[in-house]
Amino acid sequence: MTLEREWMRGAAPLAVLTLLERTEMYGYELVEALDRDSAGLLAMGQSTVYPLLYNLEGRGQVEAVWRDSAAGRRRKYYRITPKGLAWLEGQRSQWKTLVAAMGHLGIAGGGEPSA
Amino acid sequence: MKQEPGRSPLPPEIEVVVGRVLQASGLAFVDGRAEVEAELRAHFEDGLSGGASAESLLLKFGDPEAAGRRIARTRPRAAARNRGERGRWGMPMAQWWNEIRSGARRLLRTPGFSMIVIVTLALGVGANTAIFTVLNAVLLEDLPYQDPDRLVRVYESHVEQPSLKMFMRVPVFREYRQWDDVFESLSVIYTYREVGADLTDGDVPRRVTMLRVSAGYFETLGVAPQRGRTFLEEESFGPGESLGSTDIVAAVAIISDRLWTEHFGRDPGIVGRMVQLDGASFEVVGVLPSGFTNPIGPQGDVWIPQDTRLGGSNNFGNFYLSGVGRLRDGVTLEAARERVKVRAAAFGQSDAAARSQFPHLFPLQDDVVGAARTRMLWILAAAAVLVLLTACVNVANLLYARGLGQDRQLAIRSALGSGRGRLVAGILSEYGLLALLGGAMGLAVGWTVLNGLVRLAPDALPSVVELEMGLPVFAFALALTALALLTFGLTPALRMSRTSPADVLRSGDRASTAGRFARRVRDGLVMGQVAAALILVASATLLARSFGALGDVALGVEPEGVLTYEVHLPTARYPDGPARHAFHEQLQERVRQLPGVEAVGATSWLPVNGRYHEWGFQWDPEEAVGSPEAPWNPSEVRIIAGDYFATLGIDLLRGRAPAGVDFEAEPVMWVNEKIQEEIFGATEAVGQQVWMGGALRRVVGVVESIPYGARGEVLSRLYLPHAQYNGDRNWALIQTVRARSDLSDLRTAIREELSGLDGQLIFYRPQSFEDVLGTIRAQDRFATLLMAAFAGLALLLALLGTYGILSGSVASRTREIGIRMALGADSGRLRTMVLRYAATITLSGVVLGLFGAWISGRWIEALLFGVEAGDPLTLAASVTIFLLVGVVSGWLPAARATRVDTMETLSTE
Repeated sequence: MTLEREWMRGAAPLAVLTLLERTEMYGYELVEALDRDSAGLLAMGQSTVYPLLYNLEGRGQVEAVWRDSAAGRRRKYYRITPKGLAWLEGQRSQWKTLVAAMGHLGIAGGGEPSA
Repeated sequence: MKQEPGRSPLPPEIEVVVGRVLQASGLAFVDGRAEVEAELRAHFEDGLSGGASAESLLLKFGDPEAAGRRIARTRPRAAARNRGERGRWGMPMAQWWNEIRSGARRLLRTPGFSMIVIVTLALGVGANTAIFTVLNAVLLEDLPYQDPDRLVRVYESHVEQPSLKMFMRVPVFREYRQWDDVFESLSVIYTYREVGADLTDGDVPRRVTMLRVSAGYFETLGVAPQRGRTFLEEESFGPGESLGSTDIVAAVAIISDRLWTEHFGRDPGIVGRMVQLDGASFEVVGVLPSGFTNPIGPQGDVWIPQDTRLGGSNNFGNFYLSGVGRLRDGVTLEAARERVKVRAAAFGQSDAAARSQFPHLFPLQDDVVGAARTRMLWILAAAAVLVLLTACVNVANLLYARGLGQDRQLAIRSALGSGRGRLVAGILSEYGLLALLGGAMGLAVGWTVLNGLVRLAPDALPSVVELEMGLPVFAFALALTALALLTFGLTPALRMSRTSPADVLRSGDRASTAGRFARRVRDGLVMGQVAAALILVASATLLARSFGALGDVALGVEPEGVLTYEVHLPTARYPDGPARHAFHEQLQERVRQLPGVEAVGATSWLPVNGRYHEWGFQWDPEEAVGSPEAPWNPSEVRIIAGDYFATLGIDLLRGRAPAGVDFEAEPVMWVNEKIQEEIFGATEAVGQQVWMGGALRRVVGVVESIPYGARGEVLSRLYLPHAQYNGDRNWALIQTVRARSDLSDLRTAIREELSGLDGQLIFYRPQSFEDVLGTIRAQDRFATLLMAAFAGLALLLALLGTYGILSGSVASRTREIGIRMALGADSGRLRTMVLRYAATITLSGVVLGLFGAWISGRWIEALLFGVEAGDPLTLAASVTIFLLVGVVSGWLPAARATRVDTMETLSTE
């Protein structure tokens, strides 16, 4: 299924930062991971990940570095910054609260608030 | 990260898509267009190498145009962050640059307004730059010597009268210089009288300034010669005994870089070369570095060793040397002052002639600058700051008024989505440009003013000071403009950016968002401006009246039609008194024959030109004849020749004129009225015999008292005829000629007579006596002119300021006035309303200004002569001026208010 635009606007940065929290990634790698793990978050096109990354970069939540990969290809790697981590923490607890509330209402599954 | 990945070919359909994304993004180079391209290419390369087809990759990629637009929104900010360039309010440089460009365009659209602001700022900044250049050079910059804070000027003083600052005696100097727990070195320079010499080396004889300094003088200042050496100890301290005050211990000379260049063409063999000074041979032993300036006394061309051996006139009775010392490293001025007192007490015990005397130490810098000059400069600096304040108030008001007009435009931009940061940036860049341009122009204005001032009053500043607008002054100008920008730029900018767009747009052309508070602030600013201008006008009036009073001082001389010049006779060719006297007689006789000449004379020192040759005579009212045991009467001494009194118009009250005094006849002298009154009292001075200079002299005349300074101060003074008093010293007589003819013709004629008499002599420093008197008021004139200029400027700015705010106020109340008139208010009452507003502002400013003038008066008092700081006439005149300013600036807006067209005003609703 595809998410509506407003939903995606809130969820996409969270998803990207969550992925980058695990490890640094280059653009295509990130696109693949999102496709795999986030059920259609990028339905509007893989191209949307780049403006998203630039936005996070402009806000100082990620930083990027050009590096040669093992295959010898130059790629731009993104990693999360402390500022990004702090933001992610805040967002995550809000999401949990929201999901819990939705669970109580029977909209979302797994109704126990955990945070 | 700066490195770009290589371009490997991609399938053509992917190349097209990458191109479309970039095209739609419209990214500039600074925004990292190339990097985005590289990243997109890497994306597709990764996809292809992972086994995906070009078709599926493009499908998943999505709409290239939409991607480009999103990238356009997000990429510049990331690029700016990566470059580390980030304005406040999170704006990248590119956007700032855009704002600056559009700010410049807005300023160009209103050139009149922009010019007024720039010029107003330039005047304020210019005045400050000029005066702070002087202040910096004179007061803040160190003297151009090594460790200048350790340099001191040394005077002899008296324990019971520590304010006395006397020249030093040789025996005392020789003692002091041994106090090595105080001084690292101590030296003397002879500045008692400017000494010159004729340099008759080469084709054209040249008059040079020759200074006598003790060995160690240049070492004390920390100056090393660029060639050769300085003076050796024995070239000034002997062995041997001194015979006369102008004795030469060693015929060696050090010359300035200027003389080396101008006269000797930078001869590389200058050291060791023999030169002729006043007919005597001297060996050049050194050349001083270029840029060396003498701290006290005149700037020298030639330095020769001062005879500091004992004997001759180098005794305890002869105070004539200026001491310059360098304190031992680590010894503070306070510690040095304590130590010299202890040592001086011990010295006084061992030598009766030194009893109760002690060396008084002053920082050399303070001595060079002088307390009166320091005060003058700080006062002028304060005045300049007041000028800048008045200028800033005007600029603030102008910008404020313009800001009101701009509210609508800003509101529209705001409604269209411009963020607050962007609006403030726009306003700030516009004002920043104004401030920068005003500052740059102010620097130019300051430079021009400075040059003008220095030309106008060259003697008002110490000669050791070099005025240059270096980095500190530039920084100062920049700081001033930045301050101006902050005060008048930021506040309105923030206010505007806070304005609610809806409010402004709803209010239509009534546009004024000025609340009551804002209006009060503006009124307050203008009141402050009137006050500042009033302080300046009152101060300038005081200084001008003081300067006028100086001009009214009866100097006792008639300077019109008097030419003065000097002729110096080399001792080598004119070895004794009679020979020199004969020459002067001959020259004066020749000049007397020239057409138009009325009287011819000469003196050792011109009147109203400072104190000089303080000596005295002994006379006892109980005894008919003076004797060495009679009481001592200190007096200044002048050596005169020819018909000196007649040339300067000094009245001979009783007795005979000096012309024709014979060398053989009974020794004679003239005294001034002050001596008659204070020393002889009821006894008629003429006919009395006094003991003077080791001989009896008869008083043969009494002349009127002539002041020694511009402020009319009079001292006891006696006059000795050169005919009878020329033996021990080659007097450098200043010739005085009174003539009805044109002085420049006379100058030429005398020059010819002189070369006819002795072709090797130099017709030196010919100038009218009026010019001589002019230079003594240089400092007063400097202060007066500058203050008057500042006051004039402030007055003009205050007039513009009050006019501006009143007309602005009337303009913003046009609607209210229109309604009042429609309701039947008569025009007279409306005019009164506006005038009352004008009066309120002006009067409040005047009251504030009077208070300020009263305070500044205390400060300025020390500079004043013949007028009180609280002079009621001055204050009344200043107040009147500002009441006029109020009326004038209120009248036009008031008249305009009554012409408001009721129908038109109301129909715009």
